Amino acid sequence: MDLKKKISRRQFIGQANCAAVGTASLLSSLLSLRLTAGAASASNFTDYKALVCLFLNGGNDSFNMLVPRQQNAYNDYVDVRGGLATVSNNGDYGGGLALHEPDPSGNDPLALLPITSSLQDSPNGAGYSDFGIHPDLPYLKTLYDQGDLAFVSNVGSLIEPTSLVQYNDGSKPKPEGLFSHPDHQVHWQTLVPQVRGPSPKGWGGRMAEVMSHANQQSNIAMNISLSGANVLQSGTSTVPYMTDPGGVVELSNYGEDTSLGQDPILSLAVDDILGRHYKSIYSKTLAQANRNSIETSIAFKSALDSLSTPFDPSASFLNGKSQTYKRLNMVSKIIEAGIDQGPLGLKMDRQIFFVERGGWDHHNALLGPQSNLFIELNDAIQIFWTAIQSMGLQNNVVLYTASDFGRTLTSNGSGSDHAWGGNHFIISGNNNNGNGNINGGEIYGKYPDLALNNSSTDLGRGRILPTTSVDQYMAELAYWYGVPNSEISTVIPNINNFSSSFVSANSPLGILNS
Amino acid sequence: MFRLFLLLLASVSTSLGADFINSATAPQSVTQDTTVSVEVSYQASTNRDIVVVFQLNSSPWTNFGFERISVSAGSSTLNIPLAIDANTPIASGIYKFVVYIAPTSGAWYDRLDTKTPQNSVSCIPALESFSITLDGAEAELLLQDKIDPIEIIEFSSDLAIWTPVARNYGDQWETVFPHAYALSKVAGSTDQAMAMAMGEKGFYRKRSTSTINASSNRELASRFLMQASFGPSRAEIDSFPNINSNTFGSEGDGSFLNWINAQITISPTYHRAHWRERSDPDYQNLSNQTLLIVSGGTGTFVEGESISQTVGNTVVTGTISTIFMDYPTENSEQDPVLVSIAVSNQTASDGSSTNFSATTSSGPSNIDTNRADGTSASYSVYRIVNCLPNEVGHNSDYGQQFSFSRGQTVYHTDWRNPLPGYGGLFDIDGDPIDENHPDWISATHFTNFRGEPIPMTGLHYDNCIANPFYADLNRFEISYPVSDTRQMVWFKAAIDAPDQLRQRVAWALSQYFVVGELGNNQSQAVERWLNYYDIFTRHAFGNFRDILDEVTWSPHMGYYLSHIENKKADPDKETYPDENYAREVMQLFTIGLWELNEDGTLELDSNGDAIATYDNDDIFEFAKVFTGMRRPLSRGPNTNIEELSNNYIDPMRVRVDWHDFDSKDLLDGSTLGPFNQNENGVRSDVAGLLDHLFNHKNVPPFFARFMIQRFTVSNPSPAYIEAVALAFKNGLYEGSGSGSRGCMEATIKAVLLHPEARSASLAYDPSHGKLREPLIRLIHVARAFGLTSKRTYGWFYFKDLHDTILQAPYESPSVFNYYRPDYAPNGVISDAALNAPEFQIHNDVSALQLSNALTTLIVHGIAGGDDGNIGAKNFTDSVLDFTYEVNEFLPDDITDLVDHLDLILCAGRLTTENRAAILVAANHPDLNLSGIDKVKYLAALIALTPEFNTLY
Repeated sequence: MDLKKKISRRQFIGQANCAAVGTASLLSSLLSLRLTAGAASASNFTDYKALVCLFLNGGNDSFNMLVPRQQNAYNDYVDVRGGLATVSNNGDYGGGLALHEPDPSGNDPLALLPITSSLQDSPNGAGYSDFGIHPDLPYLKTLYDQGDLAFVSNVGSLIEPTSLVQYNDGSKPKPEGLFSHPDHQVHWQTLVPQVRGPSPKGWGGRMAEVMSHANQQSNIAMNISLSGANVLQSGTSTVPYMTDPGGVVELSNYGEDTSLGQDPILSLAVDDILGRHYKSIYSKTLAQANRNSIETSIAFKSALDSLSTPFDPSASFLNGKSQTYKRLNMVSKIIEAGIDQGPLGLKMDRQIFFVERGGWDHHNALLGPQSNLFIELNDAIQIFWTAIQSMGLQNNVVLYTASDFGRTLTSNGSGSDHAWGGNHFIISGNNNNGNGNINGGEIYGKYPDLALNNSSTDLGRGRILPTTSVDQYMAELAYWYGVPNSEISTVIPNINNFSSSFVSANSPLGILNS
Repeated sequence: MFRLFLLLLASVSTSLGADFINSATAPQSVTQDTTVSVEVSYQASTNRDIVVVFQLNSSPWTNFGFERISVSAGSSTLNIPLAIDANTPIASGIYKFVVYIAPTSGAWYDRLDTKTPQNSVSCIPALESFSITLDGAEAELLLQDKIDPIEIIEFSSDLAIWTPVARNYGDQWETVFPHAYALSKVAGSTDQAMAMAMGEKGFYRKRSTSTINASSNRELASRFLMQASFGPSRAEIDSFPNINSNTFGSEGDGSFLNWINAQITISPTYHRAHWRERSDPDYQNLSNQTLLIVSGGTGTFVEGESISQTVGNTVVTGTISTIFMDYPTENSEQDPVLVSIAVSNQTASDGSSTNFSATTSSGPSNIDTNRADGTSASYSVYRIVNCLPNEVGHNSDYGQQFSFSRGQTVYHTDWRNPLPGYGGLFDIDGDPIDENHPDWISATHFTNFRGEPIPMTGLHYDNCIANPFYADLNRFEISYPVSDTRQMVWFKAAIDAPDQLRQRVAWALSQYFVVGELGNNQSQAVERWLNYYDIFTRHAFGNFRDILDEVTWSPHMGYYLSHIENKKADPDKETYPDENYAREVMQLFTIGLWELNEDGTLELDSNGDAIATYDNDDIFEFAKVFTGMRRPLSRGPNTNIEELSNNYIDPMRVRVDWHDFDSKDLLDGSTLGPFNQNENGVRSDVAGLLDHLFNHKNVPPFFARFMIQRFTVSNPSPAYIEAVALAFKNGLYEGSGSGSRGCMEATIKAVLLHPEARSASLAYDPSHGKLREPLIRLIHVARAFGLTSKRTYGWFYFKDLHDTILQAPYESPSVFNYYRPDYAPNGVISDAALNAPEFQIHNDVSALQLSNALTTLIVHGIAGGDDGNIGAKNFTDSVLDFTYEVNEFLPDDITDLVDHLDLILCAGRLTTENRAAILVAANHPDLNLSGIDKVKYLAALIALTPEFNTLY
């Protein structure tokens, strides 16, 4: 029992009250609003930037998304994944979990798509350059080869850099609730893995607060969620605006214009009822939330209606498309409205989007279901990125992935279990000519040794100890987004524990040009 | 005074017949939670409203006090009382008072004149605040016997956000989350002392009220029914036990207990039974029967059967005692094969000691015996199913009302495509319908979005009921995916089943032992979902341990949390047991993450640290227990259940050689097993771990908090949790219950009857209560006005609710339910470190979708709208019945109508102000509605109020 994880009572009470004693009080947020209101015309943003989080809920088995091809490393991969996978003509999978070596003929549906990384071919990397991408992600390979996409390998939530020895002897603090879905999901979003639960608030919410001088001309929240409530975008005084791919939902009959079927009598009563001050915290929260929803939906709808191609959720090209496709399509439309500084535009300087896709918890069948999800992602990212490129905004937008955790290299038979470190990717406009955003076509971090019981990162049964923290990965994005150095530790509280390994002062991993 | 003088000067220029605020005076500072007086001198040309607002003097102009009064034509000077909100942030100079005159019920922008008597107002702490600085010393706060009906001590660290920490609404003080300081008795008095933690700095204040609005019997009953059922209706309220008694709801009154006891005696509405009776006509009632399932071979062996064998010239007879089987491959689809039989009580015809031969041979074909009846059985593979006790068969009276799948074939409701030899068309009374009758039309009226005709064979119309599209139709059917049948059964039970409490308990349990559609295989299946859900229907008043057992052995859960087909570690192949179920059975189904005291507070070690209940090593260890649990065998070719590819109805079976028989280290340091390496050993292993978890001290408070949150309040006090936990632990609540740990009946009674659930005075505590579940709000409206289906068979087809209101039966997005117990939305709830799970699915979209869905339901019934779509587009599926409201109250008794709607929708909790706002709308001269349309309009408006959407 001595080894059980603990939090102190002080810490618990601190968590419970941190909102109250920090900058969170209603009073201080009101004062800062007033302060910024006076400076409304002094917005110093000359550019537009949007960050798009694609959260793969459930724990993507990303050691089958990015696979080593150097012969010894590949052999280790095949061994630890229980042998090569097989697939029959009718789509039944068998064998182990390992994907196949590239197939020049293009006939093998399990054959990896080859890529190379010079960064990995060094003592600080894997020591070799040949890798493969999952066969159902061909668009990612295209982007990678064009320099528009970078991978980051073996990322996970950490409090401090931690070696296997330090993990085992307990000399470094460990994230709470290791290997559990809700804990790891929340850690990715709060970046405070030493605290269990969402009370530290999300880093996207904190970023909106330190960047409150952005979006002065707009009443729409900086954070927009296409996938409902989430921790990432909830700050101490900010919440995301949530919309969905079906378009803007308004309150029926609300409004003054009877010619549109609107009902002024109802509107008056609703204003009266929702504008009232309630004692009950539930009534108060409900009334405020519903009033905000009504007001925001009106502004949002007029902005989307005023696009050159107004948003149409029933457009034929969306028929039969996946939820991820529809959501990312909606994001591209909101970006188009957001960058519009005209009278009907949303007039945004900075936006953060949250798109979630569930279904990655592949305990008892990995290959088939993951293949289906990758096909969906590949298709959705392609429609999205093509739209961004056609607007010429590829250097204004960054899409990145997040997920609970990587999964065990060893299998449960035909699936894998909860683990820790995993692989991710970032997409933005390439810097091939020195004027772009992302130094793509590379794998950052250190791709781990996949041999079971390897000395440096295996915690047992192929649970890989992360060598790049989520903080480093997110700081890369935060700096690009424009968080000043003075505020970076507000947004990413543990970042200074990792600063000694920064590639440069405002690019921890060297991926994005801030 | 100087300011006042200037204002008076300004009013000189006003002319008669116009509307003006001549002057207004208001204080320069206010105190939280007090009432201030604003003097207003006005002139009104006709009936007008005077509105006084206390608000921020900068964006976002938040109101912290609002009062509206109606005045008649003329001029006068009034002192208008204005309540200042208790949580108005303490600040200097950031508020203002505004007074305006507007047309009756006019809005801000309609104002005719405005004055701002004070533009830089401060808010100071409530006068009764007392500051205590605890700096390294333990201190106590003396809590004296109360005088008022309710008194609350609140804490603040910054004088801005106040959180209740203790309260007294009966005869003793209790502490509340999140602080939950210890209370102790003060010797020599009935006062209590509250210990406050060292090192915390802050402020305390006491709030109390001497006026608690008295509730009528019917209001108390309605509020109870909002907690304990899927919603009250007029009939339910009127028939509530003792409803007209003078002592109703008073101390010692047993009315609520009587209602619960009556509910418990109602025979259960089983979802699976309801479906089987109305589904595949070949389903037979095999309850408690032993079903022999044969696969291959020319005969069968049954344990206990007499058999004989001729060995040479000697006939040996005996009884089959055990049949041994083996599994030819690891392919889980393969049936096992017979290896050998053991025969007991053998006797030889010649009295010799000749025994059966080949009873332990390696292959089935070597076993060649004769049965007692003379037939021979060369070999067979078989298993015996002990059919579930609630299994029922098809009821021919009901025909084929549901579409269903048999194998890969879908058979539709009998108005479409009946199973050959069955079916036919029935009307709502069950009478056959003549397809040649002129009222029966073969419909091609309706087309889908591609312009193709919807494949409906018939529309039956007789007595006309208004329908927005075909005014002369009152029956029609809309095709639906087979998989939606499970929700249609659920809606029927929630709306119409008499065993409402059982259904509510089952619904709560289904949110605890979650299986959701996302991530499940064969989402098109129906019976497995209903069968799983009925674990909760069946044991709603039974025992938690039985539920845990059935859930654990359910193949439906086994697939969802992947312990089905789970194998022990294989070092050669580098495979390990799946850890999913081992983790979640602890985290979600039994003990939770942290060691708890009996009252749900965190248990702390000697350093003051909270203690985790388990770590990953424990999960790794317990994953070994959940190995060797296999998919049940098919019931065979003439299956009596819905098997789309496999049997997910019967409990999982055991495969011995897949189970890890090593002994397991338990959480308390003791050891489980090792058990014999046979089927009983596997079952003992699983039962042993479930007992270990079930008997953990965390289970009573952990489960108690969950159940309280589902039924009554989001933030129960430690005392409330402890009372429910004790009922669970001892199996008794005030004498009723089984007396066994885990008794659900006792637990439910404690949840619903505890003073914290029943006391009306707690409405004064702002943290008391909850946001209601969106699905329950929707069903409440359906029940309140007797939703009646227009479908031939009376089904309610709410469509895709999970996409709109983010909650629908069987549609939880993950095993973590629709919301987390500790979810806290930003704002006052999060600031006070309190929880409100349901707000997790209340977002900018779903909030308006639900509001729109409620409006659609009230105005059109289950119909498709542009937003908040709750039914198939362009069809009205079911309608509400407002006959009583129209006949009883219209056209004149608008006030009584609003009060009636308030009673059944809000339990009479509509605030004075909101009741006034509803009446303003109801009496508005431009509202050109009458009769049923007016009732609908007002009901829909009330459904938008916080009083309907929350419960306290």
